[in-house]
Amino acid sequence: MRHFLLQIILFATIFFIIDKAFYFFIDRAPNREHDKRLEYVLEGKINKDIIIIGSSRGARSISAEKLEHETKLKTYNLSYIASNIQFQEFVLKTLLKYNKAPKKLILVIDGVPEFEPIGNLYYRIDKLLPLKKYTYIHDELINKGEKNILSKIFCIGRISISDFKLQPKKASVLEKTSLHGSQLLPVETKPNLKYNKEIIEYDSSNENQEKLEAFRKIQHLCKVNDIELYYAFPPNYYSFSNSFYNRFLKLVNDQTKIIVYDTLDNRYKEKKYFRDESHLNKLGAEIFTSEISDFINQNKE
Amino acid sequence: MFFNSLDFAVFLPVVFILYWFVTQRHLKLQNALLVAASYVFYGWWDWRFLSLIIFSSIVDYLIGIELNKEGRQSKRKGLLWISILVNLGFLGFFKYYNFFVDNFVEAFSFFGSKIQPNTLDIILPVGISFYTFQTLSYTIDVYKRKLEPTQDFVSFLAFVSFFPQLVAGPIERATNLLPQFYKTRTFHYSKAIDGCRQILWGLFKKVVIADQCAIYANLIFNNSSDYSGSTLVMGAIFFTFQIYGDFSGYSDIAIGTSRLFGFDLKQNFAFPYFSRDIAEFWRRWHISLSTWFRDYLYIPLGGSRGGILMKIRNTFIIFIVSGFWHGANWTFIVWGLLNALYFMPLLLTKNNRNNIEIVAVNKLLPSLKDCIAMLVTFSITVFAWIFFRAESITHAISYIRNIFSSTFLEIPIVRPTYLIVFLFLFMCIEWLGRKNKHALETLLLKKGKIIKWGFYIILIICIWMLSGEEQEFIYFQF
Repeated sequence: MRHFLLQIILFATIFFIIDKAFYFFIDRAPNREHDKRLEYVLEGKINKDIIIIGSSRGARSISAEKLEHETKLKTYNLSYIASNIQFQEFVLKTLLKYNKAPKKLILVIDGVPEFEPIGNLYYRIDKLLPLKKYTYIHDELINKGEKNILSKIFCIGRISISDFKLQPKKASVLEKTSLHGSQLLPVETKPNLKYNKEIIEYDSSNENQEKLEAFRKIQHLCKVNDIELYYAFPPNYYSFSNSFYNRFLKLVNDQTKIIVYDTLDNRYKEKKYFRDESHLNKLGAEIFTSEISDFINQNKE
Repeated sequence: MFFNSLDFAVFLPVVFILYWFVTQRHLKLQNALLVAASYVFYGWWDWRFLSLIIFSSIVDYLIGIELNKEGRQSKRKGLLWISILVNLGFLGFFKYYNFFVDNFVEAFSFFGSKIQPNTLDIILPVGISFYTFQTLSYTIDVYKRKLEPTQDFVSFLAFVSFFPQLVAGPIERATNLLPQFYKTRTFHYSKAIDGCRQILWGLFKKVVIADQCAIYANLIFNNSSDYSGSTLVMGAIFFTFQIYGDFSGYSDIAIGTSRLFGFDLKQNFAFPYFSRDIAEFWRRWHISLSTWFRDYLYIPLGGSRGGILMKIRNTFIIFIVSGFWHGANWTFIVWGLLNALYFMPLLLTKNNRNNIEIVAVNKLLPSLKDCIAMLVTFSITVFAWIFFRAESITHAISYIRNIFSSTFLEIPIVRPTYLIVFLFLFMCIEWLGRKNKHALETLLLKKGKIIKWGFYIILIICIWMLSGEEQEFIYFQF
């Protein structure tokens, strides 16, 4: 028995030492990424006046460069494509932990899918995985059940097969991130795009409580950090859902901070400003960004 | 509790230390510890179903004693039937109740009568098919006077609930396992080390082979109408390795864990994908179940003693029952039926016992004839697995129809290079170890410690790196 236990201990010790060599792969994992925004956040490099947070509608519909130019306030876009409100709340929490709090936060609202239990919006674990060398991110991966507690001790528990790839990931045209964090879409419209006049009735009984909680946490974080919180509704190539909007008003304390696109602006009925039903292209984003900067400029103290 | 979970990684060393250091001098205490540990292991999943195991154990323990006392054959038969009805009653209720109700309703609606289905929302207790068969074998063996009934209740509880093999086998016979609880176990270094190697190989099979194949098999089977014929073939092959890695991996971990506690369980898989005909495959696949059906169903039905018609009937019965044992779905029954059909030519030509020895004994490579035979057997097995994996018969048929379409010769869209490399290396290692009880039993044993341990470390790295979320073992559901 003694011999057996000694052999097991010796083997475990050797394994423990060899395991540490794998830190090399963990350390270089962020270098392969083309979207460095979250890493900049973790390194405290995002000290801006205005921060935009949202899903793809935030990343595509607001040009942070133009907003900065028009408001004279340093602006950065931290919207992540296909991210849900829980991920957006995590991004904000991380931003506030490592950076100076912004003066204003623009939370881009997805409309009907915002609080739906199932949909096309996710907690973007894939954006966290390359940043596992940061303890804060790694702890979040453990919280989310993506890694187990032993990965705190063993490097091998943190890495995955993709970490062994040496070439940097290539960003497609749709994934290109500007210096200010926006991911504007090229002026190119889907050929069969048609304006959808159907009005979607919103059913609040179906809302996901965890998503609502994340939304309230964003409101709370802004309040305690003295951040002006704006809610932006970008245009769609389909009818505006008044029933969702009415529900949304009940969730917001200060209704003067809601920026809804100009529904009477006929340009938003022209398909040349859209890439698809839910996303503006670069030209459309410029129009909507001007609306936001006008709103902010008018509300400047 | 899953073998591939953090919980088990803590549970096993704790039980091991208590077993060898605290209770070693008292056999009864050691057995009681095994019972307690087994109940914790099972209760981790759902403690309420422990009552089923305990009830089943008490019934069979008492019936065993009564069978021994009772001299009258009619009374003994009655006692045996009580045991069969209790055990199969539980199994039938939890596993097959909804299946039978649904099929009755469908049968009646076929004749124009409409009946409201009265199905229940039943959870299938994990491992019920395995421990039911294990306890049944005890009562039947006592009834046939092949085994003296045990008077030691704790040992009997330990035999029924022994945690390494409780939820997914191997299905042990009382004649092999029960006597091991009566004797003081001694720790053997070589046995324990070999047990560790077998656990390691089992984890590799489960996490690296089965779970990775599952990703692609699920993707392809769940969207089968979207893929080309060649991709569907890949899907069926991935499932073939998934089910083997999953189930034989579990058996390896179970046998390896038992060895750490001084127990010897029977080999459950003997490299079945190197079989040269379907009869050999069934001698090598899920051996504990096949031999159970042989001893407790096939032989009592007359086995091969009668004429050719009886042989055919009995073969069909055991294959169909074996299919049905796997699940309450027609797909499993068709899978069993298909295997019976594969078996028929061998049975009718009396060639079903041709390949008893493992392929290419004392040779590094197989002959061309063996290669072709293995390839044919593997291909028909892959084909049968389609029914096993499909959601329904209709799904299986449409899957097969799509395979034999014009897209059969296209390059498959789903072809993960890393997994194909892993599968190739896996099969090479299995080939090298095919004469042993598990692939790592003698592999690299004569090499230096650096090479041997280096290899084990590589296996651990692969397991850890590829272990995402804990995946349930497929056979837990059976």
